[in-house]
Amino acid sequence: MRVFGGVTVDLDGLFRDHATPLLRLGVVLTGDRALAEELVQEAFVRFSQSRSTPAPGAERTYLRRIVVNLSHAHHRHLRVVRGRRPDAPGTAAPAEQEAIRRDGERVVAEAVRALPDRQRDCVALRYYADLGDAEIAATLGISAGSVKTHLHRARAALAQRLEVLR
Amino acid sequence: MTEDLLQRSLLAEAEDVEAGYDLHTRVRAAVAAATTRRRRRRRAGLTAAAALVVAGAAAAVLADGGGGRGEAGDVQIQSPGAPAPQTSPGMPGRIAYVQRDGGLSILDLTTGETMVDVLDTPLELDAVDLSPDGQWVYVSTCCDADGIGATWRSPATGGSPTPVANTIGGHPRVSPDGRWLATVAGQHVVVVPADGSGGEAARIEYMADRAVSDVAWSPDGARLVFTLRGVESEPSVAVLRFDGQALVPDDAIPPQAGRFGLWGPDGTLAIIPAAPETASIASVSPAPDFTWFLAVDQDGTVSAHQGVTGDGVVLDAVEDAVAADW
Repeated sequence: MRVFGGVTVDLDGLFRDHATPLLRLGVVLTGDRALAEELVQEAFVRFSQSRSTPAPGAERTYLRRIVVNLSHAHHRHLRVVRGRRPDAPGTAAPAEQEAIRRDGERVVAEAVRALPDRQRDCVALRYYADLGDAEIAATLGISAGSVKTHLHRARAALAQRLEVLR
Repeated sequence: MTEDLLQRSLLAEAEDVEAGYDLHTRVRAAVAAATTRRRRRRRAGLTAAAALVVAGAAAAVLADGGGGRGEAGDVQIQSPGAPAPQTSPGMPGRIAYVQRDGGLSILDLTTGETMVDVLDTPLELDAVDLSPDGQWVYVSTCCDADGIGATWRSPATGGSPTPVANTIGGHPRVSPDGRWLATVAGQHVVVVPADGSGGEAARIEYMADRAVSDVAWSPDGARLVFTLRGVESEPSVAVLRFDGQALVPDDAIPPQAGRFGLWGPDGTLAIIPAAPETASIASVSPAPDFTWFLAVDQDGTVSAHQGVTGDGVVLDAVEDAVAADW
């Protein structure tokens, strides 16, 4: 048990309850297990150092938001390394070759990760974490209307990029 | 592309992933190390904050305009571009400021003590403002992939922040009557009800021909000054009129070269030059008992902020002194 800002926080309990879902979200967002572990570690560090402890029950939203935002740095790095915009098509092999080399699900996940940050966040939180518009909005600090817009654009972009799989 | 395929694909990505003992151990070690660093930083910060309270003589040097940097006692130079601490008539003797490690605090000027750590989000904090009644603190976070920020509101006594509906952009500034919140985003100056009410229809925007920044309300709440910035042009300062319905250019005050504009308590507008011939000191009083002094270098950089209260207490570089990474 640790005391942060006058509130007792059971860090080990938080880890037990939230670490695996957060780690899985990190893997979905980045496609990299080791990196996802770093994101989760940093999320717990930031949580522990926060000056205002989230309301009971809001811890996962808070931790989830940290992981999502930290994942953006990873994608910014990828964009620099690959020298492309976030909404460009995948950079590895062409989609058709990818479909041959990998199963269809993996290609879909890669296409999700190639989306712009907010679209990727919304897709992961909706279709992986199974959150509603309001929960996604609260996690990302945007309006529910923006969530709908991002999801609509993401689905359209994915449908276009994954045409080869149809 | 079916939603079922999308869901199945993402679930398959992480279905075998478990957070194990190794990660648990690393988290505990990282948290312990961060806590140690924070304790060390807090001790240093409190020491520095206490040093902010200095004799009124230093204020006199600055107020006379003859001193400049280097002759104002404990004046400390802060990094260019750091957000200035904000005051509120409803919260006398205290300031709100953004810390560099992600937090936002309210500091008691007379004791140097942090009264309340108001807000701590995982997002990057950009700038802060207080409501005139001192009840609310507003802070912007920057930025998403499209460069768009958002503004959050939290009780000044602490508590969880909530996003202010329909805001985009950063640099929040609450109107003098507390009813409106102005922000800037890209080429837009945006005004929304400060309580987030009214839905999207309540958002009032003005689109400039260049990027905008540094918005500030006139004391009567009828005008907004802001800076226009372009890659190939010198910054200039422009003024909008606001009547609760629309933002329109104020023809009586045409745009003029300058780094940003500051309102005095009587409604006079001071333009901080973009590139003065010599380093200079400018001043502005956001409240009757409080004055900010700004040192402007020859390259146009505002390199120091000093605040002087009515009883002669000098504050300077508060956010750096408190929040620097010691």
